[in-house]
Amino acid sequence: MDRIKLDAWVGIFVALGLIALMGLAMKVGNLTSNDIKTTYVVTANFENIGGLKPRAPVKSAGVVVGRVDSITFDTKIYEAIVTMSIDERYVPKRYVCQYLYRRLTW
Amino acid sequence: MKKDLIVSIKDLAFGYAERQIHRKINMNFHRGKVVAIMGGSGCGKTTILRLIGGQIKPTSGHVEVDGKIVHEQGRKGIYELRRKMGMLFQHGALFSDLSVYENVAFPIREHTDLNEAVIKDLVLMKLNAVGLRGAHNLMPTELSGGMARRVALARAVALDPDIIMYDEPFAGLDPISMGVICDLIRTLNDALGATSIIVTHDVTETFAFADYIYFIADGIVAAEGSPSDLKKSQLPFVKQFIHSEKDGPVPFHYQANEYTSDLGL
Amino acid sequence: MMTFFENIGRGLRLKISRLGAATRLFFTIISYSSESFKRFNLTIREIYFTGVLSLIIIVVSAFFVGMVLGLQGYYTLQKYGSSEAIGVLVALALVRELGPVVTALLFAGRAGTAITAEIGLMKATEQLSAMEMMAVSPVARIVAPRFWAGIITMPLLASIFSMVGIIGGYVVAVPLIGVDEGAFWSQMQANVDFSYDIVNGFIKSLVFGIACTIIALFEGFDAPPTAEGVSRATTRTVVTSSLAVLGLDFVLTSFMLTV
Repeated sequence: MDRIKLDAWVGIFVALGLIALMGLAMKVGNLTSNDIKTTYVVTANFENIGGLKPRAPVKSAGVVVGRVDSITFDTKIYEAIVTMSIDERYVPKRYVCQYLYRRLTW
Repeated sequence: MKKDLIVSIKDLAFGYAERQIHRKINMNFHRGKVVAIMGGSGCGKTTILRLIGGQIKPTSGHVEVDGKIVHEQGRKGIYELRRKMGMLFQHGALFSDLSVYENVAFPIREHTDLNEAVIKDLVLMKLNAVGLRGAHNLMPTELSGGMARRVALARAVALDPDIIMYDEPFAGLDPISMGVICDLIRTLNDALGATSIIVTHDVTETFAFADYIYFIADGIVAAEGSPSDLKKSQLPFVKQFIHSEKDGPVPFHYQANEYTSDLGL
Repeated sequence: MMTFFENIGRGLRLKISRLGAATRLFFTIISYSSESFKRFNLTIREIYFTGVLSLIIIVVSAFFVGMVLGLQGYYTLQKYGSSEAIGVLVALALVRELGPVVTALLFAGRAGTAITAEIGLMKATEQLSAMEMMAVSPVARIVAPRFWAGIITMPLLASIFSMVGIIGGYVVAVPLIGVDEGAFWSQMQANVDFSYDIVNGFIKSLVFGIACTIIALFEGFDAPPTAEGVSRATTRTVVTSSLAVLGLDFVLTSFMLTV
């Protein structure tokens, strides 16, 4: 098997793999709707975070507008403090956060 | 100034947990000589080659190659020593996925920076020395046993080593191939000014061209000398071996009970 | 009675010492790996033999798995009136579990056994010894490139598997059964999270790749240099790799779902 044919096939294979990965990320996942733009920070208190974890998506009207950065516990008011970064483009007048199975909707 | 004694084995002992193979071996190999190591099956002849090459370590005693003690060398040291050695394995051990040309070129490519044109000349020269220059495009699977061994020989001498080791080079060859290999061993040795160490069973061929012979039995060197000396030897072991006698110090019968009791008489 | 326990004890000790030897091989491979990258064409050659030649079985299997997921999933979902979630079901099942795991099992069977047989045979015909005597490390030249090729190949194959599987599920759900195309993709996009599902799946396939490749390499390197020895070693590769993949899958999944 001469070198050139081998290299070509390996190149095709790796390209296919990367395309599949990209396809999964874009079409299947929600990578495109990730905010790569600048974000502002919002904090919200929750009585119970349930299964919420950092990096969970924050949605409004079903659209991903931000991500959860960190979750800490406030020993004074005994509630969870969720810090999240929201895309700068979306600044609503009112914030009402609702926890909905691993993601926040507001 | 090159020393005359290129390999020396002193008080070597080696064995595995189950079995002691060598008890006390002493051997000396001089530059430019063809030396044979002979003995019955399983007496540890091939193991000596591995000990010289540093693939295994002795339990006591040492092997000295070109002034350096083999088992004390680190990874780099061992590879330095191995570059001076060429080894021909019993069935050739050619790389099955490379062509004859690539097989012989392998050590040259790995250890030198020569360009393709020079490599090509070297490879074809070595193949020519073993008479297989025309076969350089074949794959190892297309070669007969004798041809494969000759290619492996060309590969072993590709870098003009100081020590060439042969592991049972005559095993399973037809008489013509045997004659060819014999001739090549002697010619290459003299042409390269190298030392050849041959592990073999074959009495007739070896006695015809070797300079010195070591006999191993029971973990020690049972006898040594030039072929003519050994032919005159009265040692029972040597006599049995040289004259292919069925019974002698190496018994015919494997250890068993009394014949009559086994038959139930 | 005692001999029964003795045998178990001895067998266990043997397996643990082999595990130790395999770990030692892993670290040896890492320390000898510079050659695999300086002479990258060695690794590329191995990527061809493990990856490219596995493409057909991966793609065909993925398509069938995806189609079955579509069928089975639809059949169950429509009982609860949630047939539009079929996209989500197919995608999540593939990306989280079936992609990495089935790919790893197929990889162990096809590429793993090939690696074991090849190395075992090279050992049996003294090619590895010959290389050593020519002052070339067989680990650097033969074993390490195959290791890196396996690590690079597995995640790529798993991604291809997941993608083709989703296409298979789509083919069954939308043209054949009649689920709404828009619903299929949009539900999927809404519910498959990149970080959790896709990245985790990728990490799984990476871990499986390391495990399967090391097992295949070790079994080949360790095989007794006889025909029977090599054939037994290839069987062991498949069995050990499969068990390792399934076991690691459980460990990784529980880790990923709780962290």
